[in-house]
Amino acid sequence: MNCNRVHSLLTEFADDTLDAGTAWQVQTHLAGCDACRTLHREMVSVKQLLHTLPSAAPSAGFDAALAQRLALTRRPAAPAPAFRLSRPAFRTTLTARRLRPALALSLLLAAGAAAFFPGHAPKTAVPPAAHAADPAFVADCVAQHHRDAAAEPLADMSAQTLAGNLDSAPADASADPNAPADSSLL
Amino acid sequence: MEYVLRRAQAIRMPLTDLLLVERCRANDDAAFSEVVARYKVKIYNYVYRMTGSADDAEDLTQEVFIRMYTSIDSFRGQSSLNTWLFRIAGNLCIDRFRRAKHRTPAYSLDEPVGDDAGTQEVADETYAPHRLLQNAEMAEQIQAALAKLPEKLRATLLLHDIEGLPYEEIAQIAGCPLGTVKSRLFNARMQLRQHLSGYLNS
Repeated sequence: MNCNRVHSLLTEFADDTLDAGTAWQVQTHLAGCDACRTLHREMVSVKQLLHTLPSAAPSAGFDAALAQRLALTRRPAAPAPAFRLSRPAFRTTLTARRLRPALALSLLLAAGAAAFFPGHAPKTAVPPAAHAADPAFVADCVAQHHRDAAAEPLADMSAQTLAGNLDSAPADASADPNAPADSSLL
Repeated sequence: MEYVLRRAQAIRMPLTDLLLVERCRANDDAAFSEVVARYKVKIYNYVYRMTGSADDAEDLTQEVFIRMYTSIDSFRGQSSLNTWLFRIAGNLCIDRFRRAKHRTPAYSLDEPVGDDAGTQEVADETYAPHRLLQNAEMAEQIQAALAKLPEKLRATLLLHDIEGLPYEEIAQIAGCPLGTVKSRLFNARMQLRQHLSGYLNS
C-alpha cells in the first residue's frame, strides 16, 4: 500500500470505520512511513481539538422567543379533496369563489333587460278571415271611412299620407284629396 | 401502529421521533415542544459553529423549528427527523451566507486590512495548547479556524466531528455521494490542521 492509497483511507482509519484487513494494511504502512504517520497524528489531533470545543447552548429566552414567532406563523392548511367536503362546505367554497359572481351578473343582466323591454299586453285574437269574407261588412267600413273623412278631413291620416305622396306625383294625377286614390290603401 | 413500527425500523429513526412527527402533524403542541427540547441544543450548536455568531445561531435555530412547524406535512419520513432538521439548518446557514455576501463586500481573512496592513497576526507562543484547551481563548482560535474553511467542508466536519453523525447520514443531509463526504472530511481536517499548526506542533 503506497502513500496515496493511505491518504485516501486516512479519514476512515482515524474514525475507526475501516474493516480489520484494510486497517491492518494502513497500520503497517504507518509504522514504516514518517510522513504518513505525522499526517495521521495531526489528523487525530485536529479531531481531539474539535472535541475540546464547549457545547454552545441557546439563551434562556429561546423558547419564549420561538413561541412568539410561532404565534405569528400560520401553518398552511392542507388542501382537502372536494369529495370529502360536506355539503355546506362544498356550497360555501365553490359557490362563493366561482359561481356567486357569475350568478350575480346574470341576475343583473336579466333585471336590466326586463326594465328595458316592457312586456306587451296580450292581444285578443280576432279571426280576420271571417270579416274580410263578408262583402257587406267591407262596404260598410268603406262608407264609414268616407263619412268620417268628410266630417274631419284633418283627422284622416290616410288622406294626409296620400297628399304627401301626391306632392311628388305627376300634376295630372291630382284628384279630390278626400276621395280614395287607391283602394290598396284600405 | 404496526405500520409506524415497520417504518421506524426501515429508516432507523427512533420510534419516539416518528410518533412525535405524527402528533405534530395533528397540531399537538406538546409534541412540538418535545421536539424543540430534544433538538434545540444540537441544532443551535451546529448553527453556532457554522456562523460563529450567537445572535445568528439563535435566530436561525428558531427559524429551523418554524420551518419544521410550517412544513411538517411535507415530511415524508424518508429520512430521520434528525437528518431533516440538520438539512434545514444547513440550508438556512447557506442562505444566510449568500445574503451576507451580497450585503457586504467580501474580503479575505488572510489579508491585512486597515491600520494593521503590513502586519501578520500570529499565534501567541507564550500560551501552550495544554493551558488553552480548557479556556475560551482556545475555543475562539478553533472557531476562527473553522470560519476559514469553505462552507461545505465546515458543515461536513461539524456534522461528523462535533455532532458525531455517520458518513451515510451526512451524505443524506448534504445530498452528495458517500465518497464526497469522505473526501470533504479529509480536506477539512487537512485545512484545519494548517490553520491550527501553531497549536498542533507545540
